[in-house]
Amino acid sequence: MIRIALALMLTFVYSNMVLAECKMNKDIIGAKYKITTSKADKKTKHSSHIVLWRNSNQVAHEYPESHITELWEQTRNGKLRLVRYFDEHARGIEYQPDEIKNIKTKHAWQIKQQLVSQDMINAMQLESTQGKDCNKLEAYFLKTKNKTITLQWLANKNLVKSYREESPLKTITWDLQQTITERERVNNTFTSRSDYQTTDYADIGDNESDPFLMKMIHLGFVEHGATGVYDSQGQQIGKHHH
Amino acid sequence: MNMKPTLLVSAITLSISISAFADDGKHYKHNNSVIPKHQLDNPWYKAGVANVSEKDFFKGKSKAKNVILFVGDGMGVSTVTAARILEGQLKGMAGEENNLSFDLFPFTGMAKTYNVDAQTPDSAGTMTAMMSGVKTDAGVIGIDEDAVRGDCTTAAGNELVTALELAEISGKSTGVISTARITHATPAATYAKSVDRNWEDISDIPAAQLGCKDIALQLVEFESNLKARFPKASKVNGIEVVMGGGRRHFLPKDASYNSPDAVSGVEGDRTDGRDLIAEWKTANPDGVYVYDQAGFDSIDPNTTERVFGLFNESHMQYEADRGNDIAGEPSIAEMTEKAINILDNNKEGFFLVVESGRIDHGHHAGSAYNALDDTIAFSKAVKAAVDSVDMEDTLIIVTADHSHVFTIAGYPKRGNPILGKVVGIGKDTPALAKDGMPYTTLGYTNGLGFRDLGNETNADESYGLPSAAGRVDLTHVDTETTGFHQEALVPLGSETHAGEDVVIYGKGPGAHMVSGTNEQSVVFHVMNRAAKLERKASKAMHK
Repeated sequence: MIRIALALMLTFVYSNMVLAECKMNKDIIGAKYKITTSKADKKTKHSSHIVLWRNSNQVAHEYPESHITELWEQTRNGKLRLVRYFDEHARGIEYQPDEIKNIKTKHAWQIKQQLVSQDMINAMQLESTQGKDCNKLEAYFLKTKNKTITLQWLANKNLVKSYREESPLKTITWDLQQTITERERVNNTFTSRSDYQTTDYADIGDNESDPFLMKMIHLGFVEHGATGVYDSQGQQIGKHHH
Repeated sequence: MNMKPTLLVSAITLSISISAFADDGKHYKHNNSVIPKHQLDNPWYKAGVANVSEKDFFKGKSKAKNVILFVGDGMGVSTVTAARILEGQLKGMAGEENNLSFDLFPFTGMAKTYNVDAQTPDSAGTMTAMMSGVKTDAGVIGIDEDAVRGDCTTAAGNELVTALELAEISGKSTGVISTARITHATPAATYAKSVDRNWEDISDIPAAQLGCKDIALQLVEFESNLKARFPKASKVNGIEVVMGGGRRHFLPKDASYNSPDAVSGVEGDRTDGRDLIAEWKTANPDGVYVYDQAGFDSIDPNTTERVFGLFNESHMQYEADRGNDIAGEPSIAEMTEKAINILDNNKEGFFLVVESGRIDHGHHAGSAYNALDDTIAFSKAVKAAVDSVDMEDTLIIVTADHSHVFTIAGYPKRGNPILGKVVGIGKDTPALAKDGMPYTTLGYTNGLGFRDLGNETNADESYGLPSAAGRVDLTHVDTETTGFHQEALVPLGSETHAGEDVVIYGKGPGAHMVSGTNEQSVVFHVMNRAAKLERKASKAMHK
């Protein structure tokens, strides 16, 4: 009995300590990353951006260069639903759960939310911890047969600060450039797009008279975009959006 | 009328010069008819009357108390053939000798599916033709070709009366079932008038066109709207059975209205704040609203007067994917049987439309498996209907609204797996094309092309991948898996409809009028003649 009481007390104290560490709402946040890919010959370098938006049970991945934003939601039975917004056209395509390939990993929702799964972090070696509260930063390292991966993890924000993957062929880096915590700005990211005209993917074929959808029918749909950095096996989940 | 003289079909028998017709072929003054003069005088309508008059040679044997129209959306001839073989092979047969339930119907005819303005049609124009006897433009619902798609002001005066409305006015029970959204083009053409098929809820209508009512609202207000149009129609009491998908169009855009099995953060799309499901419940206190399998199963058809079932936020699942639905949903056969057992409580008879809406979607996604599996489910629904009614007084018509660019090709040997690679007669290994690679029996002329998604059962998953039209080395690919998508020649983001004729199958009183090659609008006229819908509706109006 005394042991149980002690355990409860310790749990309570620990919970309060955790809460005290970082008071910002990590579920209402935006994080802008610069993604750079450098080929091994160092002659070619490509960079793009992704903005991760979290709004409670919704996640958005905004790709500024292609003017596309992907909204992800988790359904009651744990499946993911996607709306792909074409910001330049103020239009959206709705996919029902499981209509998209590559989202069936065990930690798909976690990868959408924080771009890297906890399993992946657990598989890496913790090299150092510095800072505290919202700035607590953990440095991880993983070396596989063909890759060397380093990750700087803002543990109390559940955000990647930087990610670097080196292989004989190329080096990919993700660097956090900006964090957005203003609730209104985060909300606006979601509400503004919810007013777009949307179409079910299944209905595309029956809308040949719609110029936007006709363009899609003729040119094809944009390939599924970057959905996260790595899964627990160290495999890349998605590629750069194009 | 603006019907283009050059397009006026030769099928119109100009010897018929009278201006109004009853459903038994005898003419009478149009002011006695429920159907408006512009519809009766429409050349498509007149041609249809002439068509069935010529075929109605079994006098006295064409009285149908009940009518069931089954529409396999996108179920062209090649789809029927391939589904028949697949079903047979799944039963352990060679396959070719198998019959889908409606293959055994005694009467068949062909339907020319083109829309007035389109060589290859869409579902809105084709279903309008079948429900009203009048061909019209692509994209419009329940309105003739004088209207302009997307222009609300052109709707007035061009609305067409449908077979379902005639049945309502005459006192029959009525029902509409679809595995697509119940506001989708095909089911909508039974009850709605809309200059744009996509105006499924108010948020879909451009601000400048808000004088028109959205399709979902028209469904919920069907009874009052029909009574307003026909004030003397005393027997109108609303559609007894409505089942399908599409909850999003009936709910406000507000998360607090979400159904328990919503997949979106905010399920509803309506921007007018109206909860049409609640409004339906209020207007039908004796009715039952259901949204899942458990609710469906709890309906007692003997004591239930009317049902409103919306089983999904958008379309219902593919048959192969039903097991993945959050709250569960009934099969098309289950819905058909339940609907009949509710509707047949009316001694005046009933009129029921059943659409398998996702055959079309399977093809658009380039998945023969999903299209064929839903066709087999559709066939089971037809069988359930035949088994549930008295065929002495029930006309059942099975048809498609249009076809798809879906082919059965090569020279596979008898019993070769229909989803497999072509293996020639007397051979055990796949035949090779001139490029040295094997090829499948089934294929598409256009679309997304090859995908190998293994055991995936949802055809639409293919949309997340780039188009991969053209030839692929299938040597080491199992093309018989549920997730295999056939090769396509022309690369498109979505496979398209096709323009060839579709088959009309008929069984029961009046089915003998299903013969020959017809304008698709003849389907209405066969139903109208067999069940005397127009005559009974007119009588009911003047009692």
